[in-house]
Amino acid sequence: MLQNSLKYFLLLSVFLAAACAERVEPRLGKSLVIVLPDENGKVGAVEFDDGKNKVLLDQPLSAAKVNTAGKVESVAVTRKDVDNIFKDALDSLPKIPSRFRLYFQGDSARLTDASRKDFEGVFDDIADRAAYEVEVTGHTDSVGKARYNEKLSVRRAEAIRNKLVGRGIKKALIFVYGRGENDLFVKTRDNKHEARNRRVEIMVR
Amino acid sequence: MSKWRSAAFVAALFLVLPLQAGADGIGKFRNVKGESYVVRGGERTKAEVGGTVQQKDVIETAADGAVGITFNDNTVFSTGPNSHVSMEEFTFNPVTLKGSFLAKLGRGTLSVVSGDIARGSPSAMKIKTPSAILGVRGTRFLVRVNEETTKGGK
Repeated sequence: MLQNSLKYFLLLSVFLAAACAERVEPRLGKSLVIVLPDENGKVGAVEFDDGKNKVLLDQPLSAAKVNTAGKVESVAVTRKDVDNIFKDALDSLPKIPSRFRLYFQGDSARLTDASRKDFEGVFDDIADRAAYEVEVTGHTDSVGKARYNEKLSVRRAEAIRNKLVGRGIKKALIFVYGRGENDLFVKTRDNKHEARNRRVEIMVR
Repeated sequence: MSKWRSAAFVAALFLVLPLQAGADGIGKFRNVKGESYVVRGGERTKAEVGGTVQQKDVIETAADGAVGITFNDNTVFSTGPNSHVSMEEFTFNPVTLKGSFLAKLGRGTLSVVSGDIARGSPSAMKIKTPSAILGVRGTRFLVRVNEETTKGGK
C-alpha cells in the first residue's frame, strides 16, 4: 500500500519535472533580451550585464540570454520566437506618443494658417487613444525681452489649451509650459525674427 | 559639508517641482486585459484604463492578463500574462527632459519603447531581471524572465 503510493508519487514527480522543463525552454535562457527595429527600421542599443560579462545588442533581432550558469551570452532568435513569446505583450503596447509643432504669427498667440490646418491632426490622434494626456509647451523667437517672451510663450500654450478644451479635451489632462526664448528650435543671435522659433510643441500620449 | 548637502537638497527640490505641476503619478494605464493588478503600499487593486501608476508600484498579471502603460517621459511599455514588474524608481523633469527609470521584471514578459529618459544619458534607464541588468540606450526591446525568483533576490 505504502509502496504503491510512493510509486505514484515518484511517477507524478517525474511527470511534473518533465512538464516544467518543457516550459522553461533552455535554448532562450532564464532571462532573455531582444532588440527590435523601430517603425523606420532604426535600431537603438541595449547592454545586458550579469555583473561580470556584458553583451551589447544593437542589431535588429540581436538577443542575449542568461544561461543556466548565470552568464550572459548572445543567442540567435527568429521573428517566430518573438511572436511565440511576446505576442500578448506586444498586443498591449500603447500607441507611441505623437509630437506636433504649430507655428504662430509674430508677437502673437494666433496660429499661422498652415498650422491651423495641422492642428486638426491633434484631435485625430487623441481620438485614437484609449486614454490620453496632452503636454503643450510654448516658445518664442529671440525678438524682445526675455521676460516678455516667457509670458508670450505661456499665452501661446494657453491659447492652444483653450482651443483643445473648447473641443472637448479635458482641461485636467492638459499640461501647459512656457519656455520663452530659452529653447530656440533654430539657434539665432538675440533679437532675430525667426518663424520656426515662434511655436508650440504638443505632445499627445 | 552639511552646507553643501542642504544646498544639494534645495537644488533637488527645484528639480522635482515641475513634475508636481505636471501629470499626476509617473504614468497611466492605457490597455488592461484580464486579471491585471497594481500593488501599492501593500494593497492590491485591479488595474484600470486611465488609472495612474506611481513610483514603487508593482504590476501583476495573471494567465489571461496584460497591461500597457505610457510614462510621463513618453516611454511606453507593456507586460504579457503571468508577469511581475516593480517600478523601483522613476524621476523625470519635463522641462530638462532628464530623469531616471529603474524597473524590475521578476517574471513574465515586457515590451518597451523607450522615451526621453533613455535619450538623456546612457545609464539613466535600466531594467533588472533576477540574474542580470539591462542598460537602455534606446529604443525598442523585449525582455522575458523565465525562472523562479525568491523574494528580495538580486
